[in-house]
Amino acid sequence: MDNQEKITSNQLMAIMISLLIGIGIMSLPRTVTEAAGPDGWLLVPAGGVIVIITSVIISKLGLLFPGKTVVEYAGDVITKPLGLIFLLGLFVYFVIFCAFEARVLAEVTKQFLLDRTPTEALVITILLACAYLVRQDIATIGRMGEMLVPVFVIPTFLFLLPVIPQMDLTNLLPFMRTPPLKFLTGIGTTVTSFLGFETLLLFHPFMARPRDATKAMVTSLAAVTFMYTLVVIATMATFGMVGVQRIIWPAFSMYRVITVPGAFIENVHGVMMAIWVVAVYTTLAVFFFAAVILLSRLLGLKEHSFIVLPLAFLIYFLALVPGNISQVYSYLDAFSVYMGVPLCFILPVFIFIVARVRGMGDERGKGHEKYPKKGT
Amino acid sequence: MGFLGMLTAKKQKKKPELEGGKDKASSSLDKNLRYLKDKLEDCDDIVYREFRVGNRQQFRFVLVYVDGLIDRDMIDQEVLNSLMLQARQANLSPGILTGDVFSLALRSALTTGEVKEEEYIDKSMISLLSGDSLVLVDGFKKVLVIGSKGWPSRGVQEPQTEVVIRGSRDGFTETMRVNTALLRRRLRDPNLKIKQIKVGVRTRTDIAIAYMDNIVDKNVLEQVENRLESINIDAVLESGYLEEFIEDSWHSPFPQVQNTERPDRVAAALLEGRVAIITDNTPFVLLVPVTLNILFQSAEDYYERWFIGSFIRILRYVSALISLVLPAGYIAITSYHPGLMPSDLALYIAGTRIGVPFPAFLEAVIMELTLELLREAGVRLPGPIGQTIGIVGGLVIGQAAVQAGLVSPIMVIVVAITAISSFALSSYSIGISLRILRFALIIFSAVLGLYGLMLGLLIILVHLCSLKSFGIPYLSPLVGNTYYELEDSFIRVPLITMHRRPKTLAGANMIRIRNKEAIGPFSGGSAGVGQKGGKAGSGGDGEKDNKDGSPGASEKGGKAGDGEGLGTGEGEHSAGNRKDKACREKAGGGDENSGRGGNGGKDGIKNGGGPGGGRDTDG
Repeated sequence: MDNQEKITSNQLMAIMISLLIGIGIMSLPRTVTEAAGPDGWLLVPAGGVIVIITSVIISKLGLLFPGKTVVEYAGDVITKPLGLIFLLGLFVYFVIFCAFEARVLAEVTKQFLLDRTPTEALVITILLACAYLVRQDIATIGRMGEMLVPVFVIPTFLFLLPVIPQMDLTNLLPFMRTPPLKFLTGIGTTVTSFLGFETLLLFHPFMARPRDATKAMVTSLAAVTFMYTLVVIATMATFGMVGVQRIIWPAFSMYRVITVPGAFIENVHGVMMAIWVVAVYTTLAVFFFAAVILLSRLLGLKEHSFIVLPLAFLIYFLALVPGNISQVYSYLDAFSVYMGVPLCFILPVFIFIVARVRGMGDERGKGHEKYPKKGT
Repeated sequence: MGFLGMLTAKKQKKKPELEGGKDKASSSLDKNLRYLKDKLEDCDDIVYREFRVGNRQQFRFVLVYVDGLIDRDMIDQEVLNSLMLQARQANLSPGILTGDVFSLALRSALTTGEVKEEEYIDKSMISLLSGDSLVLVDGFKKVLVIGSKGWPSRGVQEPQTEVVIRGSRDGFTETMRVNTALLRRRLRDPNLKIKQIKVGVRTRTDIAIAYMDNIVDKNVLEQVENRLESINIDAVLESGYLEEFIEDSWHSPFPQVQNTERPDRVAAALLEGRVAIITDNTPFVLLVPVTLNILFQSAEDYYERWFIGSFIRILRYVSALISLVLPAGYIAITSYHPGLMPSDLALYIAGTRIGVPFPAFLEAVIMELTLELLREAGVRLPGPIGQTIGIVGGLVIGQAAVQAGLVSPIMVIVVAITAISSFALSSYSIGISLRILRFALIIFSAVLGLYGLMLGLLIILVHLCSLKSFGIPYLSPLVGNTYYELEDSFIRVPLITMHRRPKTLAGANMIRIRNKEAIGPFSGGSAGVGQKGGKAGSGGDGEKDNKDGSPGASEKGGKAGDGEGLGTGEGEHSAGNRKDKACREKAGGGDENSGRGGNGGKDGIKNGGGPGGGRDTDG
């Protein structure tokens, strides 16, 4: 198997934060408002809790099988054919998700920055740029995360400050009037904007200290939940319930209303756009990397780099399937709910339960060295 | 890594053509002489001097040297004079002389410092060609090799490429021995090791690997040695040859080996646990491993007050960013997203561009290329003409081009600011890398605007993240687990808080400063309070310092805190001077050094239980 440099827990956190913040955050305010009206922002922390619990289960699952990715142990736990179906499903899911990321990025860029550039050009350029990163190893991605997380987390918070005068918190009222059932189904759609954490199934053995994974996951997911919540509240308060539902990318439009007096750049949304390109780039690259790792392990390849370009072209064609932006989003919603939720939430938990019931794996994590070598 | 693999695979043992050691010297003088004359046929710079030694002139000696490479006074005085005249005066019985004239000459007659006997004639020939003199004695199977190197060389001068306002003015020269001496002058520590090897089948260039034995990361050292020994090349004319062979990734635009002309910089690097590679015939010493951060440092950052040092650091990072993205960003915004600018500015820029026949992209490329041409022309031309080029360039390119309406004035400003920024960097090599990448970014942003610019920057970042120098991530300490090293990155914190050596570089002995807090009294508060505090609080320390160094410090009143700090510095400095003198007079003077040397000693002792404990290495 390919012998990759290990990552530290800080790098895992950075990877997770940069992975989760992608296309989801731009439409999240609309999704939650459609699901639960003025209580929509409450869905975010609620969804976050579910995601955190699932990610803890996934990291425990990884500890049961030290040094192995899901590719190696899935077949052992839930029989070979079922395992293969699960893995192939996961692979298809990663690839399709990459396609969505690339397409949405292209659409947003087209709308805000380059209105006359063909979608194809935008999709292929981002994919090639990602392919360059994916050809490297996980440590490089970890370092990328470390470098970039401050780049898109700090401005996101910073540019919320000038929004404050535009906000009207009464837009969040009435409080807690949503029927419980509607609220629960809302959580179901909200968790899809946290998709990406399941890549831990593959990344776990790359940790220098696998035991730290749980803590890193909880911290990074909590941070992302907090950021999501703030952005959703700010957007809903700015545009109101009805306004949010009418905008495709409400979070993005929120940054458009900002004017910083006296600044050289009049429209902060240009800066936010540039930063968001970076955020989507990392998301896309990590998903892409997960797909490549999964496939190369499935095929038993020693090197992963040469399947990157063929896969990039596959993603390119998939990304161009939807005809327009509304189709993209209707496909994406269906895809996340019917493919993302089972593959990322239900099946990993199922595998964990089966493994525990069958008493498989290294229960106490004896296989892990107590103080393994530190990554750099 | 494929390239590296090839290097290590090719690794050989000692190359015979490099070191010699094949042909033994014969006992017949004529045979040896014939060997040499045969090999060195048509080498008219070789001098053979035959003479006889002994009270009855019974022993034939031949002195061989390369004219111009040796110190002729020394050969005349210490070799010829001693052997021919003084040895004759000694009234020795013929028995002893015939018995072992060779060792007699070696032990008693030759009054030079560096003499060794050599079994192999080919080996001694290589010594001959590197400036040693040979003495062949009839009837003995060995050759005397006399260290007599002395050729005309440039003296120690101020380095041209790394000028500082404050700091030592001596720079490395072309002679390796002088360079190692400059290092040894700064680090009087037995742990400073200087290992010599030869590289280059034809040039047989001397390479010295210098490192601090108890600080260096052994993995890095091993890699350096392995890579240097694996080099199989015919000539090493400059350290740049070595650089290309030993760097991790030869297809990267970024320098992965630092070069410097400053001995103080090398000394500081060795104290951080890095390895220096000193090459003969060049004043540029290589330092590995290197990180991007190190390339932004300058020796002066540590000599000036830390506020200034930090400010300049930030300035350098900003100028690097400007030099990389300003033209590209300008093109992206003016040609694709004028809406991002305030409307007044957008209108103004559009106004200046009226009548300019080229798109912004072409305009920028033309101007940037012209600027590069000017720079190159200015570097190559001799001084006075170089200035002319500057004036012509400034006038023609700047004013005339704008007046002719070929380029917009704003573009001239953009290009000028970019150029100034790229020259403000402390390392020439990183400046050049950024300059090349700037062109790539200009193309990216000309094609896809701000989006393309971001993609270009991301690709550069990916490359930087994947880059390593001798196993050290190029972007550390920004990445990895040693965030405390950020104290010496964008800012330079006061020395008093830089207790530990950078963990990514150093292998052991992590503590470098043992003072927990400033020695002078607290410098905060109002002037009066500060002064009082100074008198009350400083106690013995302050008093002593004042006696030692600056007598005026106690009277400095308002600046009590600063004054005391200064006093301390000077105190140490004068101690250093004293030590200096003592050293020059007697070797035993080293015992006295109470200041830094003492610290070093403690370092060594405490290391076992200390916080060093060895660096955890990655796989």
